[in-house]
Amino acid sequence: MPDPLPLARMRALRLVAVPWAEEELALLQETATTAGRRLIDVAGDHGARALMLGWPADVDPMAVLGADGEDLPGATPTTCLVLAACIGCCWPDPDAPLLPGKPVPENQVLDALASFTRPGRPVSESLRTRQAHWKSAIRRLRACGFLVPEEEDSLIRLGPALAGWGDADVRHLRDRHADLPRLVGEPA
Amino acid sequence: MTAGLDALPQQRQADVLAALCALETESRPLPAASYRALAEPALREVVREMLATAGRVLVETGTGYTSGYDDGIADRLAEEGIGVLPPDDRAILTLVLLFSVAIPRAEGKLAPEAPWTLGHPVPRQRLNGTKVPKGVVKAGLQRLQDAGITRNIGDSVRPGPQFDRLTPAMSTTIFEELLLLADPRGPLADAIRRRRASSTLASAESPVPAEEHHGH
Repeated sequence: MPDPLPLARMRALRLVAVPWAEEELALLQETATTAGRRLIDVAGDHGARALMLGWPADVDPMAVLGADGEDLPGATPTTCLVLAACIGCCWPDPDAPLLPGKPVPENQVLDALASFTRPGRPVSESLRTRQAHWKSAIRRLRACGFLVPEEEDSLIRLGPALAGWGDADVRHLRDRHADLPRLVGEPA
Repeated sequence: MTAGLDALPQQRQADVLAALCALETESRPLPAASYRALAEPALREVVREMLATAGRVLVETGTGYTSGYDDGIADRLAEEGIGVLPPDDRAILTLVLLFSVAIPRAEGKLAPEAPWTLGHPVPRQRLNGTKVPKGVVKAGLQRLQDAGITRNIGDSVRPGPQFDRLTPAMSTTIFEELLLLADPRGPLADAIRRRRASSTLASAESPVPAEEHHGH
């Protein structure tokens, strides 16, 4: 059996550098296939490339869990909405690949959410309260890999977990790109 | 794919891959009845084999199955500093485990076989009354919650779903560490130290790797 450590390392770190040696990369790919996984090449916004573990195209995690996302812990409506806003703001051109996208300031995402959500909320749910919920969701999305962990510049960057989405998922997003929350005036 | 998977008809291969994906993705244990590849021993063995290729093992819990790191692989990752919690988070997690599981178990208020995730909820206020500064507790609890290591129940906290992924050996080690911490001079702590010393000695004296030794 091939050494299982490299795949275990990939699961724990989420992203690993692409091996320089072709034989090493081939072995990694073979081990991933044996384990029922596939390697996904992830583009970073600094031009760096990395690998993460994904599932073969015919294995859909949502389908195998028998869930539409609502049962998944952490995938609350707020978290989904915030992810939609992050994608809307960081992916201005639907003809471009989803990743790496464009880094944007956190305020741009928060403003997009404020203009997207319905006005006239009760006083008890002030903008400040909603922003606190949105910021918590951003933190959760960073922890889950849907956004890149916070860097010094505090910009929002789309994360490697999105690279695991299938072509059909991205096609749906592309079709409804104009509906994603973003600031008025930003390209749709 | 593994030889075991290749030997299966296409539909059974799909069953195995579905169970594998669910085990590795779902944060809670899966009921065996929901996945054919977990319910049928022969298919479950193929799942086990595929998990092993990625350094993972099938973990049986009271409510079903989940997956976790193989103990040897977990040790090797820790040696590389991968998955090791920063000291602040470790201190806070230790407090949560002491108040949620170790003390209730010692007082007979929590069954020894109860899973970590059913530990008693610890009010955040209780953690703020310790020597760890409040701000450190707050930030650490947030990180632990985000990682699924703890779980918030209202204003209280208890061990989170990641504890379901511990192997029995890893689970025992953590509980023993809590005993050593809580009562270092007690008879249980002495027994743990003696047992660990003798097993270290035995493995140092044995030239045969443990797995081969078991095979004889």
